[in-house]
Amino acid sequence: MRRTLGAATLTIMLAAGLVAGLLQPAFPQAAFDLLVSPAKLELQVAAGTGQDFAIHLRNTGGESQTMKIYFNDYSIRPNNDFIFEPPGHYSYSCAKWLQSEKTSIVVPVGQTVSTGFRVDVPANAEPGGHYGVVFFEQVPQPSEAKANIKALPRIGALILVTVPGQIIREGEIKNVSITSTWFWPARRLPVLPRRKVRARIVFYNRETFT
Amino acid sequence: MKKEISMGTRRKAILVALIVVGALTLFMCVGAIGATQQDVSVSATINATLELNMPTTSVTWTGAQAIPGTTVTAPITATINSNKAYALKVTQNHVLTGTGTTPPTIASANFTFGATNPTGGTYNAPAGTEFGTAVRVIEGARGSGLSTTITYSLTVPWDQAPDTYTATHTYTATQP
Repeated sequence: MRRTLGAATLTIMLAAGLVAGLLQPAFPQAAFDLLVSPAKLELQVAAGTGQDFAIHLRNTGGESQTMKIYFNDYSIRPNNDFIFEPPGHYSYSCAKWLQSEKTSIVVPVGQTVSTGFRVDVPANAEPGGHYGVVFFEQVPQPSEAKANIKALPRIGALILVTVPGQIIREGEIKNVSITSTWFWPARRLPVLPRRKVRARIVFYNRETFT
Repeated sequence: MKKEISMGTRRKAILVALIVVGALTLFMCVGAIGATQQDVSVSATINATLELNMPTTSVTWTGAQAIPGTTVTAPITATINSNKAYALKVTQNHVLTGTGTTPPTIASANFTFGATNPTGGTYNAPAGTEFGTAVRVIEGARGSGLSTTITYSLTVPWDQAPDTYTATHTYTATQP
């Protein structure tokens, strides 16, 4: 009697576990917790010279992490939205000047690892700001290959290189036209008084001068 | 007679004590005058630092869950520690795509997400946000333990071919 009862209990528990497993999405645990410092680096490097720098990564997660290292260009929209593009996409890019001593890095659990980089500014580099981003992207584990959705965490470290020199920003306003939906006439009419036309020209520097 | 002797001893003792105190005071003053001032320069550089924590980095719905005519959900969490303003974005490599030479796909409108607002957050993606390129998930000011729950929602229509559909979502954390 006891054996039967035990078998029945075990069967129910197994069945409950199976049903619970089917009803919930499966989450293979690959805990990711990585710190990057500095996450933003401003350098002043003269044309024709180079500079070394390091970025530190600390793994406070539960598993060793292999991080792929690569570079991108970026731009920021007026609403602070980042746009990432391959190196050399933007004229003010410095992504192609960046070199990493490694293409990937292993960060063991609980450890901080430093990895070296170098920026080499070409001799003919235009003075001013040049921007790029160093990405540290998780390399997925083979066990996660069959997941429907693989979430790849990556952290970007922004690199801002200023090439010293005379920076000239010139622009020319070639034409200004004003249209008005105001019902009162702006032109001189024989009877009606003319209203004053006031206009303000706002000149935004978006670095796309021609 | 004894009283006079006692009084004399007491006076001597007080005199000696006064001399000792005076000598000590003088010694301390001389020491203080002789000491040179030494400034200690203290400097601490704190780098812009960013940490991303994602306890779960993959989601799998089995055939028993993704039943046609139903909508299934799955939450994952992301926590940011940042000493500057931060942004978390997601980019999909492609829409959920099946297998084979001409694989079927799941329409973007049927696979969406929403993110809860972390403490001090200035933006969080509303429910029903479609995946794409550099889609904003959360944004906010500096802080620690800035956690969001990102809920995936998959609607499986009846005209969706049976298959195993996959996609990769890259979650990018940066400091603007």
